[in-house]
Amino acid sequence: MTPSRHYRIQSYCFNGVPMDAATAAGNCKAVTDAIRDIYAQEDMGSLVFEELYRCAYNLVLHGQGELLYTEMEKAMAAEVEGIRGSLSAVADDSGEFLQELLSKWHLHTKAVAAIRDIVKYMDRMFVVANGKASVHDLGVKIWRDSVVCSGDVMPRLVEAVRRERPAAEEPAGDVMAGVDKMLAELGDEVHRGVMDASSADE
Amino acid sequence: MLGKGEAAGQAHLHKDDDGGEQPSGVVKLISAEGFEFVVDKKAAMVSNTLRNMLTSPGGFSETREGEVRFPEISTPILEKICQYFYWSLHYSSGKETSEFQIEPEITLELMMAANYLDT
Repeated sequence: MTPSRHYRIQSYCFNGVPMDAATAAGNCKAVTDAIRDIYAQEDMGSLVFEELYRCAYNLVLHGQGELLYTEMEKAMAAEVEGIRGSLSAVADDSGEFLQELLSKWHLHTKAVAAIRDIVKYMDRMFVVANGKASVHDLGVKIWRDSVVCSGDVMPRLVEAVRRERPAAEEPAGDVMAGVDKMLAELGDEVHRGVMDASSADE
Repeated sequence: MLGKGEAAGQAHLHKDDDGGEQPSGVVKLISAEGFEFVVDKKAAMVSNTLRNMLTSPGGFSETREGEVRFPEISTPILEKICQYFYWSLHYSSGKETSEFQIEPEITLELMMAANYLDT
């Protein structure tokens, strides 16, 4: 293990003083509160990127990367869980369901992009050094596991895709094209799974 | 070194080579002491952190107001950083070939800022 020059300078600067628990918790809370606002698309103008970035940056710099990562993951998962809940309230019309699913997916990807920008330093340092999933990958994984592959969405999705699927020669509509793109991003397995299941019992 | 005229004068030096899809316009960078540097967005985006700040889909206050406050970066350091942004643009376009001069006494602080700004 040869410590890089980079790290020696960091520890010199901070003299090995770890961040106290209250400050760490406060910084984490600022980030997770912002995650909630980002998903709610409220109050966005009052979010100051520099402050949030600095909170995340200082956490990672002072060895609190793990805390930040876990709290961020929890906050993101809670928001996505809320979305899943809202989807079950959507009427049983297949077109409407797909449309709603897609619009929530777009909300989610946009939020993940904003979160990734805020915690960029964590993504660059902590995630790489500890072999964790990047914020983007984590966002995809959470969506795949707790929305698309969940017990109440998957059957409806398969059914909706079966109904809305264009005939062989027809070009896919906007919604179906969007759904196809979303599934492709979630990985081959899910994509093929949905497509096979939706054409199997015709 | 901290003359206001100097900073403002520097800001608009290179408006001419605003090209391609790069965002046009300027952004205000404010140091810990409240000193304001107005630089081209294109120059500010030499820093990945600033690039994210100014282009992130979140609609953050920085994007709306076109200014960024750095409560932890002092004026001399921020000035050096602004100079570096322009030097870097010129260097990558081949217009600049000389080395970027860094005074030894600010090296450590400058490196910390560079780490923060991902530059």
